[in-house]
Amino acid sequence: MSTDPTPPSLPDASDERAPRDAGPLRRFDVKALGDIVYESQGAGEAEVAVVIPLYNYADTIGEALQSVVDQDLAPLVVVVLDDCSTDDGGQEAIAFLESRAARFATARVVRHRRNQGLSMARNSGIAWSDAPFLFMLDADNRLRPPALSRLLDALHCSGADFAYSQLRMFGDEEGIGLADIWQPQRFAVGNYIDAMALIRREALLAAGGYAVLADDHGWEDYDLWCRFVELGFEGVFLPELLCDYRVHSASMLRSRTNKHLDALMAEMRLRHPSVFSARQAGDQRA
Amino acid sequence: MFNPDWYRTRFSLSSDVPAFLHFLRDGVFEDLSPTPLFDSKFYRTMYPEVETSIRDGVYSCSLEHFIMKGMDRGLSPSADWDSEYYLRQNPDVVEDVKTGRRRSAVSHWIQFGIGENRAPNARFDAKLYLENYPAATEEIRRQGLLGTFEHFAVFGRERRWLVDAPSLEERVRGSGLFDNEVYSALNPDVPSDPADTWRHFWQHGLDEGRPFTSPEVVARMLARLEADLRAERYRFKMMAEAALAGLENRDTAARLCQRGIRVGVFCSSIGNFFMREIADLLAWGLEAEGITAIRRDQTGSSEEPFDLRVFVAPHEFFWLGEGSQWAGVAGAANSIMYNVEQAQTRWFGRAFPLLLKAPLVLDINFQTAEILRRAGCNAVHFMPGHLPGGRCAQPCLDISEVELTRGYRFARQPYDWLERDRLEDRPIDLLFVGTATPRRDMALSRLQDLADAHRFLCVCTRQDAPLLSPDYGTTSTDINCALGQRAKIVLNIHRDWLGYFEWSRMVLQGFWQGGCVVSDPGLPNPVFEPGVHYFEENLRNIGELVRWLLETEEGRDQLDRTRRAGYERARTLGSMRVALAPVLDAFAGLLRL
Repeated sequence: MSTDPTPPSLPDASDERAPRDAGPLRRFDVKALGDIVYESQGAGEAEVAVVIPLYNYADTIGEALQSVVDQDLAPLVVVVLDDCSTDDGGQEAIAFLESRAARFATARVVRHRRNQGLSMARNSGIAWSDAPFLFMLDADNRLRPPALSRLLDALHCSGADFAYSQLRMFGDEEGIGLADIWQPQRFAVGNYIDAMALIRREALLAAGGYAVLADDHGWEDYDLWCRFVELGFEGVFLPELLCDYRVHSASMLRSRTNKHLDALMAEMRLRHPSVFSARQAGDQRA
Repeated sequence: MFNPDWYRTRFSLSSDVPAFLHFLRDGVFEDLSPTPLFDSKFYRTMYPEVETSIRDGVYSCSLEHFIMKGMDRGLSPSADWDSEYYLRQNPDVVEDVKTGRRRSAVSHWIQFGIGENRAPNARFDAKLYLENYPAATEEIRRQGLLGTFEHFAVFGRERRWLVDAPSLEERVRGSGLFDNEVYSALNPDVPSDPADTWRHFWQHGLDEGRPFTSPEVVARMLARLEADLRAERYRFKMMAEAALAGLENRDTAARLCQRGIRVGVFCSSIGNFFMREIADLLAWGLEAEGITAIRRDQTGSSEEPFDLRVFVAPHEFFWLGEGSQWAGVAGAANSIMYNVEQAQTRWFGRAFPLLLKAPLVLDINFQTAEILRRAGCNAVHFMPGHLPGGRCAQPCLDISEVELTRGYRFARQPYDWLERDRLEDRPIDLLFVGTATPRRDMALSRLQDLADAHRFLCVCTRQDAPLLSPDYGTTSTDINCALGQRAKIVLNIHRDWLGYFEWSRMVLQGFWQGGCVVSDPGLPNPVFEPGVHYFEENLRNIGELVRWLLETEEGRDQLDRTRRAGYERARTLGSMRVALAPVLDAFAGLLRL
């Protein structure tokens, strides 16, 4: 990642609406948002970097990190983005990674100087790694041991831009998630692919990373998938239970009124008009 | 009076034991009756002197007492016998008894009355019986039965055929499926007073196709029918074995072919794809028997002539799109309904009024067929059978275009499972494909750990997923079959606790594709047995079973044996010809051939 931001060549193009082919994530240097507070180097060249945004999940970050350690894929990079947690999640992460330093090709904990929100934390994760594939893991979720190796294999053999699997829900509710095969037209109805996916770095950069949406409502992954549809990128689905999704009774996505939902869907529709129109669906299939 | 076939079925004799010999050796001492016209238990209960005389060694069994003593004294051989009625109806018998030519009314009936089709009680109407069930005449002749009543005693009663013509209302009540509270709960706009609830259902709800039953109600019904179900399973299996040995059926199929019968097989084109596959299989099966079968959907013309029309999945056909315009055809004398909905589902409510009207009902579920017989339907259990050349029974060589398996290397290699048929060639360790229900969700998420060490494909489609055009579906029957062929274990989890035998998953996706079926316990099936053709284990322990099957040498050996046994069974007792045998008999009966 360069440290000098490239001046925009397109007039009046906000980052969110006109992603460039392979430029920096933002006009400003994303790396400048935070500082490395822990780093270790191990052996090997990793193909996959796991990005974990962290905001006040001290009680689950250990499980999340353990699930990365338990991956059968090696070597790995892990980057934890502490978005100014007020609990001691950051210290937890550091302590944990310190004790497992040998497991990772590179392990980093980066602490934002100011709280930036989930999207920018993910973008920082992208900026602070250079592996060709990135996995977005939430600090309260977990991976099953074969997850990364199988998702990586799926990407290699399908040539898709990102790979995702079925989720298993645990916590306040148990069950199977909503994921399904890549069908762009489904996004016109809602999101059915969780953020937990293995994504090609180039695809992320082409899409300009994660957008910061109003009110930080947790729909940045939906927004990213819509952007992927517009860019003609494709996902490959593995119908296997490779990721654990923790359900909280007070989870972000669940405590929402209908009115709020309407507003969010309207915003999506405005941001991605072609995704929400039927005609585009036909083109995408070709 | 001795009826060997009846005796054999009733007391579950194996086919190599001569019935009469059994009766002489064991039957007499166990006081079994060799004919349904005589009920030994009833007789002994009614007349305590019988017990005494047997104990004292005067007679060896109840039947002997009846023949030597009871008949002449006018004792009743069974609960069917009403001597007052018989005497009232037959003045010539009164005369005979008075003059001493006959000892008693019952002795007249046994020796002459049955053969003359005289009724033993007020409910039995021989003429009506033969009218309702024309197939009976042929059977009486073929089986050498004494008369119509013996037919009823041997076959009709078990089949729940009716001896009089109950009203539709009586039939519905007789099914045992309707429950006041359930109906109110499922239909909040219905009055809550029990008398009013029934009336609402009767006057509106039934024809509106409203749901009226629940798994609990169905379960209670099945519990009550336990003995009948067991006997019927046995009978069905015996009949299937006979058909397999080629003893009976060629005759019926030939007769239907000779007449150039045309059968229209109808299924909605806008319903669940799975129903269309069943319709296709039925049509192919008939064609394989040499009978002209033509596939149609709701856009066809009701003017098009067919000798018989089979409506597959009527709960969809007559309700979706133009299908509602076919309502008039539903009750026709040559309209056959093929029900594929389990009785406890909401959709069964839509099928039920149609099934009641039909002259013949086919049902993919063995237990539902029995319940429907209780409701006075002429119901025949039919699960599409294996047809070697047919689709769904062929290897799917190339799945490189299938979206669902795009992420797997094995999907890019051509694979013919029949070529070497080796367990280790199957890349998927555990496969589940089905719609999500709370029970399945829970069970699958508990199998989580298996996913770590094995390749566990879990395709759990949401019923509330947005409706897209058929092209964009995640799975189809072809995909399901292709996956089944590549799986070591095909997992079945019943949608609810009642556990109806899931034909599409266990048979179509499992047995026919050479996969080993592992299921949670469900209602028994006459053709496929747990422990022999597949594994049954309760949900709690199913993970352990799968682990044993995949991870131990002994387990893998059992896995391999069992899947082969299942496949073999599917191709023999589960074959299309065998499965169609009772259906063709029923067709012939309808057409009076």
